Amino acid sequence: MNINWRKYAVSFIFTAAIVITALLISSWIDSRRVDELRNIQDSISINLLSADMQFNLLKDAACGDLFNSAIGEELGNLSDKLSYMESIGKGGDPSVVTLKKYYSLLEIRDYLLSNSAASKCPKRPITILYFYRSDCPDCDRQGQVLTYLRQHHADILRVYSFDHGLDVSAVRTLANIYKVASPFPAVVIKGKTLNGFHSIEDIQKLLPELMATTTAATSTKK
Amino acid sequence: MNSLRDVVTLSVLFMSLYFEIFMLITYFEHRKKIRGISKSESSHHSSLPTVTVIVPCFNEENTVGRTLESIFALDYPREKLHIVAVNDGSKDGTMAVLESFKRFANFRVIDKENGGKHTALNLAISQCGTEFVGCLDADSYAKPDSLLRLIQRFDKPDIMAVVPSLHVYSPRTTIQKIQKVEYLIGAFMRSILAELNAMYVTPGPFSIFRREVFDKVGLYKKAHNTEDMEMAMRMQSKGLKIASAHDAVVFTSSPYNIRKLYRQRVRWTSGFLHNVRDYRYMLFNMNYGNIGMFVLPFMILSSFSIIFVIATIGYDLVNMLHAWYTRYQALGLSMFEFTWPSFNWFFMRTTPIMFCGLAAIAAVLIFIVIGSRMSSGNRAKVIEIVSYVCLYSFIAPWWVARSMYNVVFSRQLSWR
Repeated sequence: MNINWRKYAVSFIFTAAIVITALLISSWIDSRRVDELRNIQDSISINLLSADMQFNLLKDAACGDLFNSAIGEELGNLSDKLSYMESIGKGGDPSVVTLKKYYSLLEIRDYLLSNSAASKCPKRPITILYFYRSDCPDCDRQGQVLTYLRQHHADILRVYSFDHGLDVSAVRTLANIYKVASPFPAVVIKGKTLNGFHSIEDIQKLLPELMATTTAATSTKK
Repeated sequence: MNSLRDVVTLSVLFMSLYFEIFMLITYFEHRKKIRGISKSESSHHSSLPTVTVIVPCFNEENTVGRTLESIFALDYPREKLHIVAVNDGSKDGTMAVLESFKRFANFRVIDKENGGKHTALNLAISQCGTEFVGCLDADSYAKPDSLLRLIQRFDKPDIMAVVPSLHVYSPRTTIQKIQKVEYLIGAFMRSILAELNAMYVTPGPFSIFRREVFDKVGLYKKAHNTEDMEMAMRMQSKGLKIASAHDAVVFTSSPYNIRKLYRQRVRWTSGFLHNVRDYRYMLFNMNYGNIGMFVLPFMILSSFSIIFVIATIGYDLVNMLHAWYTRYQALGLSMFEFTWPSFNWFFMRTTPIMFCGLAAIAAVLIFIVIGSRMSSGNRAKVIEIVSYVCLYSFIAPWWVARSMYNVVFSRQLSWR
């Protein structure tokens, strides 16, 4: 019986073309994702710089601007998107790692700014520092609790999350200041470092201010 | 593309896409011929050959009457059509139903002890003296013009058998509607397999053979309760050509629930795998053309890949349950709080696997559209197609896996 080898070859070329196109489209969309992350970071960077300058120019009159929730929301948005990149296996991608480092630095900068303004501004957001590691079994649960709290108290709560395994000296210094060490997860609330998993109720007990306000949950994914 | 799993998934998808594209290229290559089949002129009744239609029955009292009525309503000269019903030791009222048709001159009943479908067919074939012989399962119904169209396809002397276009009879349940779509794909596939000389089944419902086929290759065998697959493979192994008449429409009763469907498909798939094992010398053997080099190896390979699909689905399911459990541990009942869903392209899955999967589904949809066009009057509704696409890939792996287990551990199955 005769076999039409040409047809076998043509089918192979068509199939290979479809698979290569799929690989190219997917990689193009991934690069668009990294661009999007970069844009958000640039926007946060500009907003932070602007808030910093306003504060220095106007002193306490800029308290309102300094603690507007836009920066907090953008940081939360960036955090969600970086977690998503990690969840789809792009966490080790060099450009994503760089973006993650940059994000950590932006968080520290925002944290320092709010600390420096603390004495002058009567109303400032509550901050939680959260240190996690990719190999820690309870960190996923802790992350969910903090995302929930951040979404429900967007106007008064800022959660700064740091990958303890990330090679950024500023993150290491921050961890050293608060004596953050294993076991993870570790959260720093009102200057106190707590290790291990803490539920919504545990954190609400430590921060009774949260009980007074609740904002509608945003629909950002985690 | 950083895990072994992704690489294997993409390879499986590549293989499926390759098969689909090969089928579509073959269709477009022979499109005019395939479309032309239904436009062929009707033969003069005087020049038509004699045909015996065998109806093997085992406990078919509910359906055999309708089957016989459909045969008596065939648009074929009475004097050239012989109908033989074989009661294979039924324990219900089948014999009484058969007796009630004895008033027809060209109808004969053979009553025998139960010995299996192949024994019923062989007894009738050995007694028939017509030029052509076919079988119609006692749960299937032929359209009036089907026999004429099947006989017209024997337009070349080297065509030894012709298979019809099978459709689900009166689909009511979701499971039957899924099968309706599956049968439309089957109608398309059989047309293409015929063009490739790679038909691996001559279905029990109304495949017609030249009588000499049984002299050349022998009678039916038990063949792991899939005698219709074995007969096709035996014919292919001897180089006998099997054609397809997609315009010869035959309806067949289909399982109405998942349990019955599972049993039927385990029997079919186990039988197929057993028969391929028996005819393994055809695999990757150029002497057997497309069926040996491509179709059978692909079917075997896809059966193995099904095991991988099951493992993947299981793994994803466990992961999903674990994620839910973690979320429940973290948030308690708060996890059930309603939040408005929001669309953001950033969070859309855009992996190469997803795009290749969409391409594979698109090809299946093209199969369905072409299958529907071939079988005018049996078009699938959108909801039926959606049910098929969403459900079939989740249910089919289970019977394939079970069949592979049966073949590996040499388990034989009964008909019912």
